[in-house]
Amino acid sequence: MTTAEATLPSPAEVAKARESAGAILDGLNRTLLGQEELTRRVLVGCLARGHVLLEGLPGLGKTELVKGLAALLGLSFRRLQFTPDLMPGDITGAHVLEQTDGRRNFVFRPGPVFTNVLLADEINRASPKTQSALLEAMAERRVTVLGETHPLPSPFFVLATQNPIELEGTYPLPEAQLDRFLFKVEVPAVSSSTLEQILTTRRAGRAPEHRPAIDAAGLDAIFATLERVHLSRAVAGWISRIVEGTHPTSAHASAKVKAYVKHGASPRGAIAIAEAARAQALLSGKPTVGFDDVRAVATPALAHRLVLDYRARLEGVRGSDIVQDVLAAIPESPERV
Amino acid sequence: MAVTLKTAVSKLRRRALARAWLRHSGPWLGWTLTGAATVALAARALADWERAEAAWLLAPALAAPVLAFVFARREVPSAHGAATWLDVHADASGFVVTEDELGQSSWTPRTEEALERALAALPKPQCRALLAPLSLAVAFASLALWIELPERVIGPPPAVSSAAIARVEEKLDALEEALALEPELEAELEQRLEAARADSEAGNPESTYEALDQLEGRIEEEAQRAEQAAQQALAELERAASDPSLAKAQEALKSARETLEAAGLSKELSPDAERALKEALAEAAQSGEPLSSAELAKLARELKGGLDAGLAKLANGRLIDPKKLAKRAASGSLDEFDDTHECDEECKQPGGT
Repeated sequence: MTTAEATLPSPAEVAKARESAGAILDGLNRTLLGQEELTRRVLVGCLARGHVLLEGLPGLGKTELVKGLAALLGLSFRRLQFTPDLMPGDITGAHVLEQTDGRRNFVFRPGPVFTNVLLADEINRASPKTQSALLEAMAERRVTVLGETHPLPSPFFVLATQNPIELEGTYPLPEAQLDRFLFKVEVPAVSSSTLEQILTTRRAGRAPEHRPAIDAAGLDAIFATLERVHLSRAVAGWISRIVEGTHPTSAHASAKVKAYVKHGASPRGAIAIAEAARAQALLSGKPTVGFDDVRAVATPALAHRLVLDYRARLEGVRGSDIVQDVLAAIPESPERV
Repeated sequence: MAVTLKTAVSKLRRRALARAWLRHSGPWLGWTLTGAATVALAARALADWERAEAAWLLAPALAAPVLAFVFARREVPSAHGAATWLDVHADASGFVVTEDELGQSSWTPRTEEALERALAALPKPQCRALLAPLSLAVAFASLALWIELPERVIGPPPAVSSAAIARVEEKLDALEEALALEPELEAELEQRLEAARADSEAGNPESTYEALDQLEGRIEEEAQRAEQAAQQALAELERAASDPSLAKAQEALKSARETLEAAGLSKELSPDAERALKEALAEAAQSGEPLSSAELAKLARELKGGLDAGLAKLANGRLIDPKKLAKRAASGSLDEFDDTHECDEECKQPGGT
C-alpha cells in the first residue's frame, strides 16, 4: 500500500460519505427553498464541527433550517431566545436544592446548552456576560458550574442568529467572540419564484416533517472519513498566504487591505478555512482539499474575523469584499509560470 | 496513453523555459543588435571600416540569447510549483497537488483527467515576443551593414574644392608663364591638375585635396628651384660686373646665362637680346678676344631684365616671396656697372694687394 493509499480515504468511503451528506443537504433544501448556497454552507459548518452565525432579517426560515438540520441528523435540538434579562445560568443550567430520601442536596439541572444542536436566537440581544457563558461552552464543549465540569453532548453545534436591524438595545458580539464561529453566513432574501413555491406548497408556512437522514453511526462514519480528507502542502500554503494577506502590515496585503483593515484574521481563521474546506471537498466527493474548496469557504470563514476601520464603514466596504479582494490578489502558487 | 504527473510537469517546465527565454531574448537581442549595428554604422561612416569588418561588431549580440537562457532557467518553476500550476489550471480540485505530494493511489485516474485538462491549457510560447523586437533590429542591422555610404560623410562642399582647384591652376599658369618648362614636366603638371579636377567632380574630396597638395608642392618646388637659379645667376652677374678681368667677367656672364636657361628663366629674354647674346658670345669665343666692357654691360642688363621679369611673374603668382624680390631689387648690384671698365692682367683684384 502506497503512502497515498494509506492517507487518503478510498473512493468507496468518499462516495458513501458524500451520499449520506447529500441526503442531509437534500433534506435541508426541502426545508429552506431556494437557498442552496446557504444550506450547503450550514452543512459544511456542521460537518467541520464548527458553529455557525446566521445573520438575516426575521422570517427568512433560520429557525426552520436549524430545526430541520437537527431532525435530519437525528440529533437533539433546543432553541434559546436571547433577551437582555437572560442569565448565564439560564443557558448552562444551575444547581437546585432537592430533597431526596429526607436529605437536601444541590443537584445540577442542565440548561438548554446540553443538547446536540442549539439554536441561539438573536444572540446579540443578551448581555455580554450571558453571551460569554455560551461562547465558553462553544469553545470548550463543556460547562463548569460551581466548580463542577459537565461535558456537553457530542456532537455539539451552535447555530446562532442575529438581526441586522433593530440594533437598539443590542450587544454586538465582540471580535474575540465572533472568532469562535466557524462561519458567519448571511441569509439572503428569497426570490419571488421561491416565495410562490412556498405559498403553493407550504400551508401556513409549515416546513415538511423530517425523518433522520442518517443515524449516529452514519454521522460518525462521515466524521471519520472527513478526518482522512487530505490537505496538501500547496493548498495549506495558499490558505496561509490568504490569512497573512488579510493583515495590513503583510507583504502580501493588497491596497484594499491596507486601506480598510485594522486587524487581519487570526490563526483560528486559517484553521477554520482548512476544516471547512475539508468538509466542502467531501461534499464534492473528493478525498483531498482543492483550491476551489478553499475559494468556496474563504469568505464565510474569514469575513467576520476582519476588524475594519471607520473608513470601511463610511464607504460601505464589507469584510466579504476584502476577502474577495485578497483571494483575487494572492495567487495559488507563489511561483510564476 | 494516459498522461502521468511526471511527464506533465516536465512539459510545463519546458514550456515555461521556452516562454521565459523568448520573453527575455527578444528585447535583449533586439537592443544589443541595435546597439552593435549603430556602432558598426559609426565605424563604417567615421572610420571607413569595410562591411566585413563592421559585420564582426554584430557578433557580441549573439551573447544575448545565451544570457537570456541563463536568466530564463531561473524562472522555471520547481516541480511542486509546476504541479500547483497544473492543478489550478485543470479544475483546482487538488488531485494533482495531492498526487505530487503523496504519490499514486486509487484516485490517480481523476488526477490523469485533471492533467489532460491542464495540458490543454498550457501557455503557448509567444514567438511574437522574440520576433517583434528582433525583426526591427535585424532590419536596422542590415541597413547599417549594406547601405551605401559616401566615402566621407563629412567633407568640404564642392564649391570649396573648386576654389582650391582654381587657386592651384592659377599658380600653374603663373609658373608656365614665368618659366620655360620642359614639355614632360609641363605635361605631368597638367595631368595632375586634370586628375584633381576629375576627383573633385567624382565627389571625392580626399583624393582631390591630396592631388592638389601634391601638385601645389611640385609647382612650388619648381618655383623654388627657379628662384635659387635666379639667385645664382644674379651672383654670377654681380661677379661679371665686379670682376676686373674682362675675360672672367665674360665667363661669368656666360655662366649666368646658362644657369638662367637651365632654370627656364630665359623665357623673359627678348628674342633679339637672346640672339645678340648668343652671337656675341660665339663671336668672342671664335675670335679669342673678350667682349668689351660696354658689350658686357649691355648683355648683363639684358639678362638682368629677363631675370627680373621672370621673378616678378613668379612673385605675382605667389610662387616666391615678393618681399625677397623687393629686397633684391633694392640692392641694385648691377646699377653701378661701369661701361668704361677696362682692366689688364695686372689689374688689382678686389680684396687683393
